[in-house]
Amino acid sequence: MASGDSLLTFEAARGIPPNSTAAATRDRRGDDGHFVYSFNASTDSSLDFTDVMPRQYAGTTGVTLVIIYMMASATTGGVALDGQFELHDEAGHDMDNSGFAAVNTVTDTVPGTAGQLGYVELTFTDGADMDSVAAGDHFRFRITRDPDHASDTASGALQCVSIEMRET
Amino acid sequence: MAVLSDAQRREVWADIMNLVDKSGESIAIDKIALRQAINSSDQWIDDNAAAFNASLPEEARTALAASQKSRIFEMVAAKRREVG
Repeated sequence: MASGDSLLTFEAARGIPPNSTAAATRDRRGDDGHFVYSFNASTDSSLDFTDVMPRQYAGTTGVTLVIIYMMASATTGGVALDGQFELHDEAGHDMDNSGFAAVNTVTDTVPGTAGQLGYVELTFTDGADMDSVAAGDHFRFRITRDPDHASDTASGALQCVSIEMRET
Repeated sequence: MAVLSDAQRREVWADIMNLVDKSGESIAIDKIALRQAINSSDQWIDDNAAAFNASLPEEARTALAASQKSRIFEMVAAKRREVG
């Protein structure tokens, strides 16, 4: 696919709370109860998404994850988010265990109004950076808020709405 | 009673952030400033505990347990917050 083309979209409702580490919590937001997952501001919390990498993925420049979020109450400060891939290849990864590649981190200044959306891009180069996930491979993507990061200063929960995966 | 430990102040900090999130309010300071406000509040309560005790009528001052005096302080403060 061409650079910038959309590969996958993970709506928050598709999120899978992990067992092996503290999980983000399911929540509803606003008059119509928009479905979100909340990541608190004091301890690490994570959420997983699984899928098969589309066959159209070129496997050259990597992927960009666009994380769409809002803050539950904060109107100032920043957030830090970690992302990491886990390849589930044929006769390779043992699904009884976790085996993520190293995290990539992105920081963002939160929107000035709680409830407005922020869009922040987290990039991965093709290859080891994304645990060598290639077209047709099953994989897991984990997002974690890192409240101890120097740039994570915003009070209260970050609410993840959706994540789009694009060809970088 | 001494000031709260760092872990106890952290617990208050996390609880307040959760309460604000659920209240539908917004908060215009970052979590570092919020934590400093909690530390200052705890220190002020410790610094002024004797003055609070001295302000109570003699019967209450001598007959109530420390935990009962703390509850009076807590509930009066909560009501003052509620009525604005």
